[in-house]
Amino acid sequence: MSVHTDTLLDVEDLHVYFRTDTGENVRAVDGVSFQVQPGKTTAIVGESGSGKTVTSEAITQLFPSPPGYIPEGSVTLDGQDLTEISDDEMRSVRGGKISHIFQNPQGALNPVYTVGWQIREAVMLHQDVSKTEANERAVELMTQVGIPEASTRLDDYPHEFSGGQKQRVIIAMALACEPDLLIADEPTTALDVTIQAQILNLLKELQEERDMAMLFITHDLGVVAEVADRVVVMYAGKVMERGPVMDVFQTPAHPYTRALLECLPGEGGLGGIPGQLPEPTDPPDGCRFADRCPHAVEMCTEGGQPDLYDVRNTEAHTASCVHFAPTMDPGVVLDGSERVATDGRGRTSTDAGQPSDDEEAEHR
Amino acid sequence: MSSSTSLFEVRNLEKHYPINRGLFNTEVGRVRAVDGISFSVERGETIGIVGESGCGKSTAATSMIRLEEPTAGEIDFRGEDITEYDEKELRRFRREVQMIFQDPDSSFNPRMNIGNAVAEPLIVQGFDDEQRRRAIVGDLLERVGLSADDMNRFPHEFSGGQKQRIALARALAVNPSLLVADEPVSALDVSIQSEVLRLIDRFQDELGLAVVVISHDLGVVQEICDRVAVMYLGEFVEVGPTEELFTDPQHPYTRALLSAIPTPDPTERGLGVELTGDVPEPSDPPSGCRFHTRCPEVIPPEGIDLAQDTWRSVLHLRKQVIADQVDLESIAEVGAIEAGDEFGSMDEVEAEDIDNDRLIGWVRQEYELPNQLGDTSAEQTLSQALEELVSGQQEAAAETLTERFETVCERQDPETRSLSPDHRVACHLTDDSVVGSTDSENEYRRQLSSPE
Repeated sequence: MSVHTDTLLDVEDLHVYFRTDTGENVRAVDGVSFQVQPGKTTAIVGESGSGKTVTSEAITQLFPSPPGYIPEGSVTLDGQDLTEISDDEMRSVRGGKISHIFQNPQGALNPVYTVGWQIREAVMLHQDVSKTEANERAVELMTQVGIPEASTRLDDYPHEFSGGQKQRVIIAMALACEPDLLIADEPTTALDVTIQAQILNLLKELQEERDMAMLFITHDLGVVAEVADRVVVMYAGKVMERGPVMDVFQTPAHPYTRALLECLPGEGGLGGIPGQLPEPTDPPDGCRFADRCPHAVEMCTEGGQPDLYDVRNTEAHTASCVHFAPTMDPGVVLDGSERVATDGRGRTSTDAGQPSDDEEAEHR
Repeated sequence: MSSSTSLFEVRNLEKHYPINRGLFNTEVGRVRAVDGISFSVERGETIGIVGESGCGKSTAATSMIRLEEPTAGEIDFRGEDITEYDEKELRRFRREVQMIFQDPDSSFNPRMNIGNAVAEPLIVQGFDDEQRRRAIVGDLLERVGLSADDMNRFPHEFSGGQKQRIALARALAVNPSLLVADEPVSALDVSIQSEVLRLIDRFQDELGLAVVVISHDLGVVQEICDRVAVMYLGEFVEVGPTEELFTDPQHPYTRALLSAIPTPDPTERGLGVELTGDVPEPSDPPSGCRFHTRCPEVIPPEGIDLAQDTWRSVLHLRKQVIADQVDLESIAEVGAIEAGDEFGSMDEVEAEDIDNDRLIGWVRQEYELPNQLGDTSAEQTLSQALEELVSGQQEAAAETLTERFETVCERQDPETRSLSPDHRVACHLTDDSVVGSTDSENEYRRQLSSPE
């Protein structure tokens, strides 16, 4: 397995299974590969139950084990395989090199300790500093994440902060040890749009300042378009499509990606995706999305999940769909629906590869 | 009695929660959750109420159908004022009005099977025939895309989207004419969201249902609403037809909300106007226009010509000075660190050790003010106030700033004006008598009306 010098995190063929009481395996993550480049953002997008959260937790092994285990695959950070290191070593990676922020800011803070205490704890666990120094560092961090009058708020308890501010505190804690990689699992889902915009802008700023890489987990394609450099679309534990953000939004290739885009409010397609996720204990043959896919053909239900084929001959952008195999005609998917690429407002441009220059912003 | 033909009409609805303190439980204040809202819904129409958390939209939902007693206001349903209803009449009214809630998990009793849960409104309304009840429930479940056989299953056996559909079935069991949906899809995945929205839309067409949708998500509202009311701190700041409101928003708050929506288009990044801070406390709402503390388009006083961001900085400084929250010590400390060598020998830098001009410069830096404001009279006031501030006369400084830098937005509550018969907005920017008195303000106004 080769580690590129420009890759910070390399997840290769990762599997995460959960063993049930009846001895079956729930295949939450079933062969997922992607990379995160230093200072860049990779977004994993998918519905509930697609395995995106478990994937992110598997990186630092946060999932409960047992019943969870990694039967196959590797997670390489800076050339070190995280699936093989000891618990002690892992503990220094968590919060040190890799930090997590979670969806629910309320649940991630301890209600009986002051936020100052909690940020200080994060600092002191990883750095050999005195309490006073840790305190100063806490104030500094809180100021950086945009909490006004930080020094006076150090002794406040979590309930005295609003939801957006709590998320800022969590970010401050996550940044305490200058991580190389920040894993943000739905960090704005519980927040209002206006607060979401504040938090997204804050994360982008902090990322630029610190040259920090981010792995962003979300179900919201709007947020993906806003923050990501690269996109990984997951469904039922498998990668359906991945590629640079521009390519994926300009030429959404996999039928699942296209269906997700059409679900967005304001896109006119109030259809949803008919059907349900396949059974995770006994996934069907062929493509996991086949029985909900409008373009499914017989070969979609045979063998394993299709390989990731190049879309439009760009190596970086690949889709796990038989229609993109060298002998097949991708036009079935790409031209099959009237939507080829839209600018997010339902307008379409007929040539997806070449967005016309006159697609200028229209004030929403 | 109202002469209008609206199905449901709310006039000046208020819901205040008293804050009681002390031995005698005296009222020391009021949380004005809903502070005078008016709207009407017709049969077959969907109206959306949008706003951030804490703006009072959920309280509006519960008090408009008397799940909570409103403090004041009139609520007409089919021409009858429901605020005067007694228990019995209220129960009859509840047959016509149903509600669905945000969290499908907590709105079901985990020990009651789905069939009984959906049948409950029927039982409450005195529908005694069990056979027919089951038939109705089975039919409803099928209409929301489940099977009649699901009746004996329990809530935990269903996914979030399915539960929300069951909640919809339950709400429709008594065949209401008005449905109030409080954040019906915000707990669901995008792909499931559109399924549930489509269902609501379909039932509306089939049953001629009037729907009030409460949501913080403008995308959701855009999808299914005919008209939208934008709510801020208990008041409607703008009400208008959905399309008009989305293409030509008049209130700065509406514009800010719209610009905060992430677009699924990576070529168009940068989330527009970013509202700073959170919604103020509704127990002590700001004077004048309630949005002025966060508004990106506050109107400068007559005769003062400043760029909007500088003007905002001035306002911010003024606010801090009035609250006596300008921390000169820490400003001095930061300034000294940035100045470097000169203060390197000193252990502790005290504000009084620094010469006034220098300290003023640092204060300006801290509050992102240029060393010289573009407008001479504004500059004069500002430098006088800063002079007073650093020489320890905080009160004098506050007075100087208040006197000169007072905006109409904080002084005067903007009237709600009708731009067209069904587009109302409450903002001084739409009032020609307030703005446009000087050339600079005309110019300023022109900039605002032509975005970018």
